[in-house]
Amino acid sequence: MLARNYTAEKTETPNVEPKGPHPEAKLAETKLADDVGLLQKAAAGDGRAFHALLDRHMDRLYRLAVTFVGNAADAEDLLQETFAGAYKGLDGFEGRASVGTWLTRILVMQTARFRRDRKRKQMGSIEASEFDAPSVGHGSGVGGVDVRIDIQAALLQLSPAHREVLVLREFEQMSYEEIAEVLGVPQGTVESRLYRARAELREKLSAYLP
Amino acid sequence: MIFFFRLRLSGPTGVAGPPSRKRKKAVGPLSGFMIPCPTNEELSAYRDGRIDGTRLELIQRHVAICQPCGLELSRLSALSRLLASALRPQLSQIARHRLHDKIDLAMERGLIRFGWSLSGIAASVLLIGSALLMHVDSVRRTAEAAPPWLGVAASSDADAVVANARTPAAALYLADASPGSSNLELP
Repeated sequence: MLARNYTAEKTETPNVEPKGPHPEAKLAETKLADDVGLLQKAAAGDGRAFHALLDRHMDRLYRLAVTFVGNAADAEDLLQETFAGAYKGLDGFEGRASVGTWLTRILVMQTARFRRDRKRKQMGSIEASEFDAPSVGHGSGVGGVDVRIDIQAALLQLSPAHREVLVLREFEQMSYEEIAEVLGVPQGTVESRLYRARAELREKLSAYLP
Repeated sequence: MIFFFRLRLSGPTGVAGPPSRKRKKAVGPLSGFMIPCPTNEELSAYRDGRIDGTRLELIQRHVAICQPCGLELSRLSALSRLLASALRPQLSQIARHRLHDKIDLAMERGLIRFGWSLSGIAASVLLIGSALLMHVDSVRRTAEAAPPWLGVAASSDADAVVANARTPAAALYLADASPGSSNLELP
């Protein structure tokens, strides 16, 4: 009986990825088709089409970039590099993944390059940390700005591999397949990294969690 | 399914090895038998909808009655909710303009690069052409060897040929071919 009561209260329904037709599926398909159409026009030399593509994806990629590098200025540079790289590589889009996934993959590669450059510059310098990750607070500002700042700080303390996989899943709601495509790793690796990243983050944000 | 036979070594309940008889009895009314607690990694995958088929059914039954596993799922949900409240930085209007400008610049650079490439090709063609002409120059020019469009009359006598040169190009050609007759009169 106790077990049944507990069931009613605690049962968690899994966040199953939609497999059948979805009410918004048509809209999403249209958007994807539009993305590909814009990309094809841009590849044919239509600059306005590329700017339209940029408008569609810049906000999402900027948020990702800020989470990856930890500050707005570097994120902006990263975004510029990403789109410049995308423009140069327009012919390289094979259509295996969506345009959004393709752009995210370029962003991840640019972030890795940025990280390498940063590390090279910091070599021999007093600063040892990669992104000068701030320390996480102790939950004093629950419900306020402090929580958000602490989340960002905790994310920056994760290893880049863990941070990327967690952000793509939790913020971007990407499927494991898409994450694997973006990061260029097998889905099994995505699964294990995601589990470790969550465990690590839970430990860091324990003050805000039950 | 591989997972079906996978035994949990360390998980929410902290129990290792195969399920005990006592635990099986506890779930009898619901499922007939109790699977061992899934690993935390598996629960994480279950929450993300990565488990399907028989294993999904088994885990669903399990988490419905296993308090530690239910708690673990609640914690995962709490983490997701917490992350959903994270900072969502917005790109400022100035930054947007800057980005568009940068892309315009990249496009222009691309066009300039394309222009340079074309210039390079043209220069190469010119060089190759000059080299070929120099090679032709090394062969003694005669009125017979002159291209028909120069309008040189077929004659071995230099003066006669000059007299028959009907175009300035023909005159120049023959001037080169006959070093002795440098003071040629153009027609």
